[in-house]
Amino acid sequence: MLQLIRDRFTGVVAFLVIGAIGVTLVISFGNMDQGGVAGTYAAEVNGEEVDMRLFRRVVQNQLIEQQEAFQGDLPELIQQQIQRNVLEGLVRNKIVTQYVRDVGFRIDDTRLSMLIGSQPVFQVAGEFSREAYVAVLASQGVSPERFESDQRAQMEVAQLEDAIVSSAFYTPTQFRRYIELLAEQRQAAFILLEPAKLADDLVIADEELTAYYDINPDEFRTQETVRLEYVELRMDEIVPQVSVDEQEIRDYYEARAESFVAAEQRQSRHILIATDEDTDVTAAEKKAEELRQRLDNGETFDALAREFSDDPVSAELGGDLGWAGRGDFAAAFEEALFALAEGETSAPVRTEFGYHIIRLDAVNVGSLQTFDDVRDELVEELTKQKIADRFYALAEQVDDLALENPTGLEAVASETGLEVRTIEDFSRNGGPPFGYNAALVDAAFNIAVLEDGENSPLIEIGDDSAIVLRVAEHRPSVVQPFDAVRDRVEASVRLQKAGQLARDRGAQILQRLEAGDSLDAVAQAFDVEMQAPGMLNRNSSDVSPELLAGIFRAPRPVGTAPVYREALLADGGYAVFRLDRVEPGRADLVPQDARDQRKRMLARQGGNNEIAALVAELRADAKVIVAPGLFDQPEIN
Amino acid sequence: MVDENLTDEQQADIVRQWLRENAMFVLGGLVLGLGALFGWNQWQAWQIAQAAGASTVYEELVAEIRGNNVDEAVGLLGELEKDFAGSPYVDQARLRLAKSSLDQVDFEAAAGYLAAVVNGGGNTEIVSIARLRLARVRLQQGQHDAALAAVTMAPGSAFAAQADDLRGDIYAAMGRVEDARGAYDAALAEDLQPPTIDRLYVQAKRDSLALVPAAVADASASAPASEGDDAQPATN
Repeated sequence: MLQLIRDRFTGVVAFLVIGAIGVTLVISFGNMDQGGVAGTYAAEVNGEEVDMRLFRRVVQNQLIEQQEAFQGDLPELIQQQIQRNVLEGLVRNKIVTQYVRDVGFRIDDTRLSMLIGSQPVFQVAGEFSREAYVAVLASQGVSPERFESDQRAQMEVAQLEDAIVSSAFYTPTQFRRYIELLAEQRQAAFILLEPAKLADDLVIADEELTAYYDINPDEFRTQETVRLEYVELRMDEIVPQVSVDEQEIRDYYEARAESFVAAEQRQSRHILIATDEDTDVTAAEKKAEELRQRLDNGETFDALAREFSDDPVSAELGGDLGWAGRGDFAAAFEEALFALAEGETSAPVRTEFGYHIIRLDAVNVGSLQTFDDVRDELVEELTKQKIADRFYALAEQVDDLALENPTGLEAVASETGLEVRTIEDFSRNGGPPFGYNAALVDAAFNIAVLEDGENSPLIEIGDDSAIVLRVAEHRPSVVQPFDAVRDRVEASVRLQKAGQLARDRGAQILQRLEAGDSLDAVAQAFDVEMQAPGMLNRNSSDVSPELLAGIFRAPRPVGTAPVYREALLADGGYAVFRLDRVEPGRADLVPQDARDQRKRMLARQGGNNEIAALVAELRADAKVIVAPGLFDQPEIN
Repeated sequence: MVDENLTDEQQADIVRQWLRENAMFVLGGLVLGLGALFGWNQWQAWQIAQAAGASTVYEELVAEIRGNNVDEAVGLLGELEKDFAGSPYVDQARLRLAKSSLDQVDFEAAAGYLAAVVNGGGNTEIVSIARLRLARVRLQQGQHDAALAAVTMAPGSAFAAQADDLRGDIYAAMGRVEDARGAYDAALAEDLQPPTIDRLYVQAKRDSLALVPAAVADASASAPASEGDDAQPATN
C-alpha cells in the first residue's frame, strides 16, 4: 500500500497528477503564492514558496480519496506518507516551473489567450466573455494577471514535456533486441521435489519438537485481546423517543413562512439601444422610437433584437431575458415591466444603460404554500432536527458521565438508561460487531484505558452512533504451553525438515547430472516424475513463477553440453531443470502496425524516463527548505 | 553626523551647505540609477519578447513536422539558429528534427542534429538527453566507439542509470559480455526513486548474458546491426 502510494505520488507522476487537477486548482489557489507571512508556506524552493493552504488542500483531497480506497480511517503512518508525497510533488512542480522560466521558455500572448478563451467556464453562448472571465476569477479571489501567469507557466511546462516525449525514439536495433528478449521462448525439462510429498515419510523425534518450540516461541503465541464493555448511543434508538406536537409544527411554519411564498415572476424580452457619455442621446431615443414603430408595423421582436440590440447576450436569443422577479432589473426597467400586460410591448424606457423596448411574454403570479401543503415535510424536518438535538445532548451527557466516573460504565448506564454491552474478544485488528475501526482500536489499546481501566472518551462510529468503552479484561499475548500446540509444532518441523531434504536431494541430483547421468535416469532413481512442458514464454503460467524465472535466467545451451540449473520455490520445494532450447523473439514476425505502435509506446516510455531523470537532476540541485514542524502534526483541518 | 549642541537652524544650514557642494553628484547618481532601472526593464521586456518570438517560430516548426513538411521545418530551424541563438527552442527544434530524420531512416542526419545539441553548449540536462540519443543512433549505425564516446556523463548525474543501461547495450553489441553485465548492474544500482529506467527490461538484458562462456559470446553476439525489414520508415 505504501509503495503504491509512493509510486503514485512522487516525481513525474505526481507532477502530472497535480497538473491534471488543473484549472480548478489554479483558479482556487493561484493567488496564494503571494502571501509572504511566516507560517503560510509549506516549503521554500529556491527562494519561492509553496503555499500552505495549497498543500493542505491537496493533502485533504488525497486523504479523502485514499480513505475511500481504504474503506475506513487511514493509519497515521500512511497519512504522513501521503503528506510527504504531496509536498514532494508540489516541490517538484515548482522546480520544473522555475526551470522552464529560467532557461527561457515563453508562451506568447496569442497562444495564451486562445487557451483561456477556449475554456467553457469563461464562455457565454459559445463565445469567450470578458465579463464572465472576470466574474469567475473574482468569485475565486484570483486576479486575471495571476491566473494568466499560472496558465502560462503550465503551458510552458507542457511545451517542454511534449518536446522531449514527442522527439524520443527507439531505433530498429534497440527494437529488435527488445523483441528478441521479451518474446523469447524456452523449452526445459524438470523434476520437482515437493516437501508435502517428502514430509509423510519423515521420522521425527520428540527432542526435535521441543527444540523447535524453544527456538520459535513467537510462532505459538496467542493473539493479544481485550474484553470490552461499552455503552452505545444509537440514533435509531432515539427515534421512538421523539415526537412533535401540533403547536410546534405551527410555530415552525410561522417562523419560516417567508420561504413558502413564491414571488411573482415575469418572462420578458428587450431590445437595448445603448448610450454612454459620448453618444447622442436624442439620436438613440429616435432610433428606439423607430424600432418601436417597426414592431407596430408587424416586424418580429426576435428579428429586430438580433439585428439591433446592443445587449449581445440576449440579442443572440432574440432579446429573451428569461424569468425574473422584482429586484432583478434597474428600477425604471422593472417599473415598466411590471406595468405591462401579457404580450404587450412598452414604449422606449430610459435606464442608465440606454433605451429599452420591453415585451412581456408570460407571467407567473407566484403562490403561497399553505400550512396543509407543507405539513408532512415540516414534520419530517422537525423530527430529524429533534433527533439530532437529542442525540448530541445525550452524547454530551454520556461523555461527561464517563469522565466524571472514570473507572466504570454503571453510572453512565443508570443515568441515561443505556445498556452496558460486552465484546468478548477484541484485538488490535478489531472484531465484531464494529469490524476494524481505527479510532476504536486506538481507544481500546490506549494505555490509560488498557492498563488503568479508565473509560475512553466518546468515539463516533459513523454519523449515527457513538460509544464509550472500557477494558474489563486485558489478555496479553502469551506463548501457549507445548502440549496445547504439539500438533502445530510437529507440522512446522515436518515442513522444515522436508524442505531441507528437498534441497539436499536436489544438490545430489545436480551432482549426478554434472557427472553425466541423464535427467531421465536420475528422476527414476529418486522416484520422481520428469516433466517436460512445451515452449514457455515469459508470461507462461504452466510452471511456478520461481521456476520460470530460473529457466529464463539460465545461460543458453551451446553445442551438445546440456545446461542444468536449480530453482528454489516459494512453497519450500526444489526444482532441477535442463534447459533444452532457446528461441529468440523475431521482430519481423510482429505485424507492421503492431510494430509501429509498440515502437511508439517504447519511445514514449523512454521520453518519460528522460523527463524523470531531468526532474531528478533539478531536484538534486534545488535548495528546498521544508517549513519547520510541518510533519509534526498529522491532523489536517 | 548630527551634533546635538547645534540648533535646528544651524543644522539646516549644514545640510544646505552640503547639498550645494554635492548637488552634481546627487543628481548624477539619480540619473544613473533611473537610467539603470529603465535599461534593466527594457532589457527584461526585450528578453521576454525574444523568448516569445522564438516560441512562436518553434510552434510553427512543430506544426510543419506534424504535416510532414520537413524542408519547411529545416528552414525554420535555420531561422531559430540565426535570430534566436541561445534560446532553448533551438535545441528543442533540433531534437524534433532528429526524430523526424530517424523516421525517414536517415541516421546520419539524425546524428547531425543531436551532435549539434551536444556541441551547442545549451542547457546541461538537454545536452545529457541529446548525448544518450546520439549514442543510440551511433549504436544503430554500428559505430560502437563513437557510441561509447557519446554516452559519457558527468559524475553524479541523474542520467547515470540511463547512460549505463545504454553502455551495456553497446558492450553487448561489441561482444564484451562481462563489461555489458557490469554496466547493467551499475545501471540498476544507480537508478533513482522514482525510477529512470525500465528496471525489468534491464534485468532481463543482464540475465540474458548470464554465464555464457566468453569464447562462445565472441562468436555469437557480435553480429553487426544489419537491417531486415525492420528499418522501413515508421508510419507515424
